[in-house]
Amino acid sequence: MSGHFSPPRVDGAPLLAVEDLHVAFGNNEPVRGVGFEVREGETLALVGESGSGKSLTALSIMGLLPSGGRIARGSIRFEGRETTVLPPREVRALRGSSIGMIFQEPMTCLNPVMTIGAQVVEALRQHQPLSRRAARARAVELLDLVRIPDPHRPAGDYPHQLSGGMRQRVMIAIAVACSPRLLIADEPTTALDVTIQAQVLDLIDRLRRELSMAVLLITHDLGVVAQWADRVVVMYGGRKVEQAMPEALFARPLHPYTQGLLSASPRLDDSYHYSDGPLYEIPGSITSSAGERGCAFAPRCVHVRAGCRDAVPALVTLTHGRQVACPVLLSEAQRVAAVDR
Amino acid sequence: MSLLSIADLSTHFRLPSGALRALDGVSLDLEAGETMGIVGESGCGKSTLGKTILRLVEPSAGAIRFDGEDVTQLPRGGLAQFRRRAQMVFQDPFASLNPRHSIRKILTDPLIVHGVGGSGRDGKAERRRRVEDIVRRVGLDPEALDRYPHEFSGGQRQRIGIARALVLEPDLVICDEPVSALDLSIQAQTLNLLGRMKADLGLSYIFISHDLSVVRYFTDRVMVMYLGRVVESAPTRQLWASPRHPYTRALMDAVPDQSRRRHAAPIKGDLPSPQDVPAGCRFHPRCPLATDICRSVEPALEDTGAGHSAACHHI
Repeated sequence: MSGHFSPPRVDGAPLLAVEDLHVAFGNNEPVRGVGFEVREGETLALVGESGSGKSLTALSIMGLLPSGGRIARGSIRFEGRETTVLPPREVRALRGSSIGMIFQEPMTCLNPVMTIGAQVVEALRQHQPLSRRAARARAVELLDLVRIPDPHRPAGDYPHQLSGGMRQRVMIAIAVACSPRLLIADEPTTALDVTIQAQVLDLIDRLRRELSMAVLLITHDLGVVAQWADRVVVMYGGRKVEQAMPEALFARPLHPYTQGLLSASPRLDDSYHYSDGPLYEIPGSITSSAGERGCAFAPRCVHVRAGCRDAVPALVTLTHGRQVACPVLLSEAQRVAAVDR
Repeated sequence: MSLLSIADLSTHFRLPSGALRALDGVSLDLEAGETMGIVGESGCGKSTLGKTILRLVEPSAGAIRFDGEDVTQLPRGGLAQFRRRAQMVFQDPFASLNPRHSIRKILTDPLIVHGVGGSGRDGKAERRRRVEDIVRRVGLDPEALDRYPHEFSGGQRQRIGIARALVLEPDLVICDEPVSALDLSIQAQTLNLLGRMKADLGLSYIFISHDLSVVRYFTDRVMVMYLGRVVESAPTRQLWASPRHPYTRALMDAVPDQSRRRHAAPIKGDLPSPQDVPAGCRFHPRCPLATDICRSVEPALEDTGAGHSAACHHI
């Protein structure tokens, strides 16, 4: 999995370190203290439902918060450099060269009146001193790299002439044009059919290895996490509630939210059927957490105690880099960690 | 007699760029009380099938028998009668509720359209009673009735969409991706609600979904579609125990699942456009088993026993 393909940095520092990140829109704080690290060459998944703050976290890293949003507190260090204090011009330079990104809907990210070849060329020349001819040749190489069949031909196509899967491949070609160290993929396959999703995730993983880049994968899909992530950060209500390797997370989820989420999802390998009984339900919805001072999950939690609503539970680190933010289940968590050891 | 019996149904669209055969000779039988899952990717015709059954889209050929009566031949009045008994739940609870109508109006209008309760004070009281009853059944407070769609979360809006479909006390409900737009924690709530309503009200469902895990849990039988054709049909447990068609197997392999780490290489190729359907077996350009016959002869759906059928030359 990770780490086999690019040696760890000599100083051991992570590629990306996010600490105590707060994102605010006016008095509203949809991201309330998120921290994690992405190491060289690994795939880290940020998983959560709508309102969890996962996409805003990704947008903060890219310096692309929507208007009205600002980083209220915290630090984002990329290759050791603090990016939250950089002038916009330098953030822009970072984006597209050292950090590539792809989004859910490639159609809205591509220019509809420009051929895809021209768009890849533009992305290349924006960040690299290439002649037009050299950039064109490199663009065809890139389209070939993302397995667009017969790359010379579609280079002259417009985005609407391509399928959704092909458009996402073009976006990936643009994102990796300058061999970034980190690829941020925000729900990259949510709009795609499942056989195409498998191809695109396969492609991202192959490029991760071939180009020795790290991937920050933002997704709501637990199956995608299980199959493609080296480590997982589970977010709820703007905070990190759990962090683990996927094997450990799916075998023994520790946070009540993660536990509920796993119990509530029907599984492909499980013969549990509606005739056997209903699915487990997490009561309420994420809006229940509005205005909560303590744990955001408290209004929906089956383990809730008096203290949960008064103070935000601290994130406790167990063995193997595993973290969980739930004092109620912590004693059990520690017991499990002892077993893991 | 089946509640719904569809024979050789086709729906073609004429577009400036040529014909689009969205649905091409599909047959199915749905028994009362049964849930039939329709599975497939974009362009397979699953949504067109749902819309054609309710005649929201006109079929080009074939028969749709509901309780023995051919729906495709119904005059206007008969169609209204039929639609009172066959309703639909849509995917997007944000797009399918009129933002300017109160929940009460959204739920009362179908009753008025179908003349439930008739005119006069008694009718009004009857409609009021029905609306309050269904709102409670779907797990909302009757005080929600005087609010507007934007005041509700996605999951609550889908409950309202379900209430709207059920307020007419239909026999058949076509659910078109009813949980796909919902967060995972809300999906389970919504599926449980649909399950409860089915048991309480004696409903039958056509359950259209791209999500195989949901289909496996929620359906009795499954039909797998590819580019307008049925490629495999079987009782749900049977399909998972022994999927026959290479496309069904590819689909199952492609679904990322919690229980698996990275899987075998995904099947190659893009989904062809339904306007440019491959000759022979429609799946042959992507099929690992394809041989010459697959490129020229379209395989028929053949019964392999126990209600399991598949359309493949290599079975």
